[in-house]
Amino acid sequence: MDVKTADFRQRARAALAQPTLQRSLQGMRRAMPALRSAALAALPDHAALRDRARESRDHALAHLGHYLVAFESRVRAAGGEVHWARTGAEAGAIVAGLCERAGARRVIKSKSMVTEEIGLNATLAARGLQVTETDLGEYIIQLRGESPSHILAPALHVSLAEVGAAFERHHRRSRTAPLTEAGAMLVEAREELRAVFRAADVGITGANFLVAETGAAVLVTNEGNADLVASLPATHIVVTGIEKVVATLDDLGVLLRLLARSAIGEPLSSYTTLVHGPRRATEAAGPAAFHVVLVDDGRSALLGTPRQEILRCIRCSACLNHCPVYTAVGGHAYGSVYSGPMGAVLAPAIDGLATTAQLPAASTLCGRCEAVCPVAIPLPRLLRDWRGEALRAGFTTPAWRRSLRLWQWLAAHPVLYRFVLGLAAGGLRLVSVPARRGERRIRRLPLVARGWFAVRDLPAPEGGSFQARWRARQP
Amino acid sequence: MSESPPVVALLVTCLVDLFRPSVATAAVRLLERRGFRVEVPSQTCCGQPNRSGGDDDGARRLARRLIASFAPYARVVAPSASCVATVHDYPALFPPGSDDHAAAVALAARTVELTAFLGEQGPDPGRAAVAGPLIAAWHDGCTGLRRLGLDRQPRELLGRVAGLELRDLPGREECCGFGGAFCVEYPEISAQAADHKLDEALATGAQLLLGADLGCLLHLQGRAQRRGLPLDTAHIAEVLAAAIADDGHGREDG
Amino acid sequence: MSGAREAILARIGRDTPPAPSANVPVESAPADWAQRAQRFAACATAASATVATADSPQAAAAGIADYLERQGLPPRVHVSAATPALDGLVTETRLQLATGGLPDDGATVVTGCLAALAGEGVVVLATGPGHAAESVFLSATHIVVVSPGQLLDSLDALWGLVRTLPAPLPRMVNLILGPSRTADLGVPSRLGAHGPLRVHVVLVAPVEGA
Repeated sequence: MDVKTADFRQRARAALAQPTLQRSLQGMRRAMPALRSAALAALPDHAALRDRARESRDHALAHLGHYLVAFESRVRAAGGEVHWARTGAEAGAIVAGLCERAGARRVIKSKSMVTEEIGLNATLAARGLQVTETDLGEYIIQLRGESPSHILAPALHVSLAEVGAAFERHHRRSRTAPLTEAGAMLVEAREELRAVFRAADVGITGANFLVAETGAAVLVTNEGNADLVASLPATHIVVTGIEKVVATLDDLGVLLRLLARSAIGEPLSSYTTLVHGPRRATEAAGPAAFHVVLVDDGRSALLGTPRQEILRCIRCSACLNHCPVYTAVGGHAYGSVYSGPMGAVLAPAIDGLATTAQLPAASTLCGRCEAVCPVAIPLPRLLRDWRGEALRAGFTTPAWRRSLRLWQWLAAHPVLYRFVLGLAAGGLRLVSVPARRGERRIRRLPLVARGWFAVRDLPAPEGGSFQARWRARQP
Repeated sequence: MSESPPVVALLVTCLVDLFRPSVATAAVRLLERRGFRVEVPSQTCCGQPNRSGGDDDGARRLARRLIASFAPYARVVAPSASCVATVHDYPALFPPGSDDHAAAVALAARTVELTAFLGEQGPDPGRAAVAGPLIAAWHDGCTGLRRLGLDRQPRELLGRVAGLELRDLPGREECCGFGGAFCVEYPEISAQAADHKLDEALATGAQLLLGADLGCLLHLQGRAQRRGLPLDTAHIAEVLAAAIADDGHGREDG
Repeated sequence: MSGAREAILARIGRDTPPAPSANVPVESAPADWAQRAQRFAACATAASATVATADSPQAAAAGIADYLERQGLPPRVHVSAATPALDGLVTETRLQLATGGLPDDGATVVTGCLAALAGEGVVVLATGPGHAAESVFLSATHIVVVSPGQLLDSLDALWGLVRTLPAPLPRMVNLILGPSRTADLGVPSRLGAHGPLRVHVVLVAPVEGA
C-alpha cells in the first residue's frame, strides 16, 4: 500500500465506489454511535470522568520528561531495558538490533499502530526476520499485503469471503469444501497461529498506556493475542510512543473506564494486562529479556504548540466511527496509518504537511469528533490550525488561496460587495430553470463551482439582496 | 407604553442576503412581533470562510469590520448558527488584553442566534398556525447543536405552531455534509452525507426539511433537486413568520 | 542510543510535577458480599462469562465438576495460581488434575486469582512462581475460583491492593473480562479468538457469622 496522502481526493472517490467497503462502513456508522452512547450513559457521571481523563493526560504531557524517566527507572529496577528513539528509522534499528541480539529468526506481533507508523515489519523483513501479526485483523491484512484501514479494526474493509480466500491461499491444508463460514475461519486462524506463537523467538507489542508509578506497560485487547506475544517468546519488546505515559494507576483506571466504552461500547476490553519487566528468578516461564522502545517520531515537536492536545489521544477510534468523512471513505483513502479526524491531525505532524495538507482540509468541521472524544481533544480547531499552516506554507492550491483572498477583499469593500451580491442574485435567477412547487434551480454554471454542480443543483436566489430590499424600504 | 421599543441589530449573513432575503424578512417580522425594533447596519461577511480555511489574517480583518458595524447595538441577532459561532470565536483572533480583543469579547457576548433569542423572550403570546397538516423533519445543524447548544429552542418554537408536526431524524447528530468549502472540494463525500440526511427525512414521512442554517439547507435542497426527491426545505424563520400570517386569518373565525 | 534519550529529554523537559490529581471514584459496588456478588455476576455475564456461587471450596470443586459435565468437557483440568479457594479440587473425585506442563488448546485450566472486581465483572490474576499467564491464555476453558475476601469493589480497590503487594510487582497482572473475542470477522463478535472460549467464575461465599 502506497503511503502518500497527496491523492486523498482520488482515493476517496475510489473508496466510495467499493461496495464491500461501503457495506462495512455503513454498518459501522449505524452501529457504533449507539453502542458507545449506551455504554457511556451507564456511567454515573460521564462528564466528570471525561474531565478527569483529560486532566490526567494533560498532567502527564505537561511533565512528560519526568514521568518517562520515572517509568524508565522502574522498568530498569524490574530488570528490563528502556531505549529511546528520535525517529521511526532509529526505532526500527533498535528493534532490529534487539532481535539480532536475541538470535531471533521468528517474530510475532500484536497490533500496534506505532509499529505501523514506523514501518517496522518491512525493516525486520529486510533483515531476514519472519514477522507474523497475531491480531486477527492484522493477520488478515498481512496475508493480503495491505495496511490497516481502521486503527482498531484494521481489516474493516475486507469481506468475509475475502478473508476465506486469503486463508485458502496461505494456509496449507487439504480442504473438501471452500472456507465460507466465520466460525470455521476463526478456528483455522487460531490453529495456524498457535504453531506460530510457540515457535517465536521475539514478541513485539505496542502499549496502550505506560504507568510511571509502577513501570507497567499496559496491553489492552479482546483476543488475548498480546498476552501470548508477551509471554511465550524469550524476548518481549514493547514499542510505543513517548506520549503514552500516565502518572498513576488511578489515571490508568480513569482512562480504561473510557477507552473500551468509547471504542466498542463495552465497559472494558476482555484483557487488560500490566506488564512489569522480564521473568523473575523464581518463575519458570515468561520472557527472560524485556525491552521498551520509546518512540518520538514527531511527537515532541507538538509539545508547547497549539497542537499539543492531540497527544492526549488514547486511540479509541470514536472520532473515526463518528466522522462523516471517515465513514464515507474508510482509512485507506487517508494514505496515512492513522485516519479519521485524529489521523488528519497526526499525519501532518508525523509525515509533514507537504504530502498531507489535503487531510485537514477534508473535514466539514462538524465537531462530532470533539464531542465524542473521551479526552476532549478539540479536533476541529486542530484541523483548522493545520489548514492555516498549509495556507501559509503554500501547500494549498493557488486557486484556493486566490479565492480566500478575493472573498476577504470583496467583503472589505461594502459598496462593491453589495453590487456584486446584487449582480449575482439577479444573474443566477436569470439562468435558473423551474423546479418543483414553483421553486427554481440552477443545473450547471460554466467554469465556476464545478464541485457544487457535480452532485447537486443550486436553488435559485430570490433575486436582489436583502440589504438592497431593506434600504429601499427605509424612509 | 411611552418608551421606545428596544432595538436589535440583524446580522443578515451572506447566504441569506444573496439567496433567501425572505429569511431575513421573516426574522425581522418575528423580532418585531416580540416588540423589538430591528435595524440592519451596513454589513458584509463575518469571515467564516476565511476562519475555517485557516486564513486568520483575512478573518481578523473582516472581524474588525463587523465589530465596528455592530458596535452601537446592545443585541445582535443572526438567522445562522455558524455565523453566530464565528462571532463567538472572534476573541481567539486577537491577543488578550488588546482593544480588539475586548471589543471582540463584548460583541460575542451580545450576539445570539435567532431561535435562541426568540426562546429567551419566552413563549409567543399569540397563536401560530400553518395550513396543515404539515409534517416537517428538523435538521440539527452541527454548529447550532454542538457549539451553541440549540436543541430544545427550535423544537419549542415549532412545537407551538398548530398544524405542524415535527419529527426528529434518527441520525440527528450526524453532519449533512455541507461544511462550507468542503461541499465543493469533496462533492462525492458531501453528497453521501446529504443522502443519508435526505433519505432519513423522507423515511419519517416528512414533506419539509427544516433547519436554522441556510448553508445546510441550500446544500440539502440542491441535492434533493438533483435527485428529484419530493422534499422541500425551509429555514425555521420562514415557517414561523408564515405561521403568524396564517394566524391572522385564523383569528377571523374566533 | 543514549544520544536519543538526552535529545528527547532536552526537548520535552524534566521538571518535577506537582502531585497528580486526586482520584474520583466513579463506580462503587455495595460492601455486602451477596450484593457485590450479584453486581459481579451481572457485569461478567454481560461479557459472556458464566458465574456460579459456592458455599465452600469443596462445593466450588463439585460445582466445577458439574459445570464440565454440563458443557460436555472432559474432567481433566490443569491447575494454576492456586489459592486456598482451590483446596477442594484434590478431594473432588470426579476431577482429574493434570500436573506440570502447559495446557494444550482445548484444555481446561482452573485457577485462583488475586482479586475479582464487582464493579467490572473482572477477575485479576498475577503471574508468579505458581502461575504463568500462558496457562490461562492457551486453554480453551478458564475456570476461576474467587475467595470471599478477594471480591473487591472495583478497579480503584484493585489499585489499592496492587500498591500493598511486596516489591517487585508481579511480572504480569491480567485483568480478564469474559472470554476472548474478536470483531475482525464481522458483527457480532465471535468468542475464542486466541484466548479461552469459555470463562466460568465461581464465587465462594463467606462462612455465615464469620
